[in-house]
Amino acid sequence: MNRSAEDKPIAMTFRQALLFVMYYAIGQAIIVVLVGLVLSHLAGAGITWKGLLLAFALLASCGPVFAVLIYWSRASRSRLWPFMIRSGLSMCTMAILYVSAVTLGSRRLGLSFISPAALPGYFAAVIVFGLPISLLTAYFVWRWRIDPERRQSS
Amino acid sequence: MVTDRSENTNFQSLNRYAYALNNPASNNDPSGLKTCADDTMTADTDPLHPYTCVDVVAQYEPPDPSTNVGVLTPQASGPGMPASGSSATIGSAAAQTHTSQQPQKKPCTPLPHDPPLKGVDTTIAAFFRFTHPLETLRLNTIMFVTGGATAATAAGAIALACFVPEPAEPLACAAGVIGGVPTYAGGVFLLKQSASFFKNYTLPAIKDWGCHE
Repeated sequence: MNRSAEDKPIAMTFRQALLFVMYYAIGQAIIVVLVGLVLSHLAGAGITWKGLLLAFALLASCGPVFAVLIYWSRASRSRLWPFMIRSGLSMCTMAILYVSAVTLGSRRLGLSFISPAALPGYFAAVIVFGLPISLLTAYFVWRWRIDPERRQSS
Repeated sequence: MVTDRSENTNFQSLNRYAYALNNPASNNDPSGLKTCADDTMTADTDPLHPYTCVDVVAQYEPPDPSTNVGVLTPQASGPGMPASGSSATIGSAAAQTHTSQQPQKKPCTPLPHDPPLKGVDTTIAAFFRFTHPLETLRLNTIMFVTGGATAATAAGAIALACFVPEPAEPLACAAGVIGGVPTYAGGVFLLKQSASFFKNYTLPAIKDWGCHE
């Protein structure tokens, strides 16, 4: 049975997605500047502006991908199983992308928090441990959520 | 000569013509100089005792130059040999037929007290300097529970901030992602380390349980 476009709830407007990407980029800029200040002043590491800019670009470039993943998950928020699977996969993809960006960004800064060779092991851990945790969390969040329909009925 | 040997508690060691302390069903003694209670014999470079085994029952000691008397010395409690300090007497049937199986300690794998600082696992082991498998198991459990709780809490924060609320709040979602994604990634990293540590240290330590007491 086809539902009309008017009945379908809007997952996320373009303006909201744009605002999310902007806020996310501002947050990452603050983190990168703070990390740069700490490393250059306290740890005495040779941090360059170019390196910081590259690290910021890597982290900020995750923002649009995150926005798409959030839109994709929100689109199915009325049904439990699609919501669970989509949000679980989204959280895992976010973790993988973010850790990859941190690893590559820190290498650009001349640091090595995580070796790039260790990344496949980390991705495997995300699938083995992170995915079940994300799925369970999404399940309980969906079951216990207080949405407008339930608020009206209660 | 008798005075020397009378200190021995296994009187079969006085019988120089008996093979394997007169208990060939349980003991092995290929050279006649060292009696082993098991079949785990490996070659050794020592010309006097050309093989080693885990469960040595008796071993021939070279003669003292002053007395020129060699002694077959019991090493530990084992099959065919009464425990040291027992009340067995010469001619006693109990001493002659004593075959109780005392548990023997297996050789221990040394715990990694001072490993080279390479990788997160060895760094953790070097930092905590474990002396008992229970300590590694305890730390492993703490790591696993903490990692799981951190990842679950962070995942909940992301899900509540971004995926569920009506209407969507971009600022709340951005805050949830900025705080939640690194925390979630850290929680999963801790879980990965916990699994790796269990495989590399906790499991071998459990297999050697009792060795390090």
